[in-house]
Amino acid sequence: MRNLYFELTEELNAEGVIAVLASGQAVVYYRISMMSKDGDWILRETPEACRKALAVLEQYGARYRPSAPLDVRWLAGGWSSHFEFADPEGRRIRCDFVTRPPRVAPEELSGLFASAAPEEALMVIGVEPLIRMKQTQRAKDYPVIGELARLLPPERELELTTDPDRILNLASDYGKQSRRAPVRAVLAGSSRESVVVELARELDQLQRQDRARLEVYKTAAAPYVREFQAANLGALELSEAHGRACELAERLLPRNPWISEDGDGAAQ
Amino acid sequence: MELLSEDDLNLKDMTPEELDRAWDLWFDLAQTTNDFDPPYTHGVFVLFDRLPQPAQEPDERAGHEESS
Repeated sequence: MRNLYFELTEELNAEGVIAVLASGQAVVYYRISMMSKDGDWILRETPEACRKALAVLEQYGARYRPSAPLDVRWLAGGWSSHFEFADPEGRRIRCDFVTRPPRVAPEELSGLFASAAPEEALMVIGVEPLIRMKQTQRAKDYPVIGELARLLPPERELELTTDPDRILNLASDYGKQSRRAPVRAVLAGSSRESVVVELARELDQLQRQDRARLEVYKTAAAPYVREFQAANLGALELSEAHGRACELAERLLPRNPWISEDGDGAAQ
Repeated sequence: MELLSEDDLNLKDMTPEELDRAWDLWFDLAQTTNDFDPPYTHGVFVLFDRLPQPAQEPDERAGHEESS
């Protein structure tokens, strides 16, 4: 049986490109590793794309999991929407959507949807933005980044790899312009241990930055998630659950948790 | 230094059909841990390692306290 997440990607894009496969299933697509049971997509940030995604999910009998409504009013604030259904063999399929993936620049996002004709190739995020999406608070993402970086040209691999040996091997040929601390350490003639320490500091900082970002969302979401569960929206048909989730979100979920009620914004 | 096992990296040598079969087998086996998975692995809800319980009505709380 074909990977259902690949099939869903094709189905989502059957009438025009609206969804790009990302994260764990993109790692499968690039033949690095099988380590995610869920499917994650970057959705085009339009009401039409949201409607199409909901229609495809409804065909499979999907239900909402506690999460933001699949609606641009919240997706534009960085929120994610989560769904679940069982495949014909009873296996759990989880589908997650964002329109503003972390650490991917807006101009890069628009390019994602124009990168290939859907009938020619599966719509999958490119290696560099995939690496940046994987710079999360989870330690297990960093070995995968090291392997993904090997797919890049050497000067870009050097900027993104998490493998100290690759930094040691590439720095002298490709690192003269690099501002990356472990690369500068190699060029300064530091010991291997110093390079490893600089790399560990860098990865720790990335993990802390991601965790701090997620804490903002967790705090902002708690009242909404509590009411979502109390209303048992996950048991409802998708179209009804969506309407109820939007009503709930209007009351309890700030559209953008980085902007306070009085309009002051904070850096993400 | 290669950071993943040879088994993982051998995905590169598979035909598309072999990759599909390997995925299908892996996904079957992975279902056995469904009950132990965190509620979210991606998106902005991942720090919810347990979902907050629905708020109890005041009467329910009082009843619970009396019985405990």
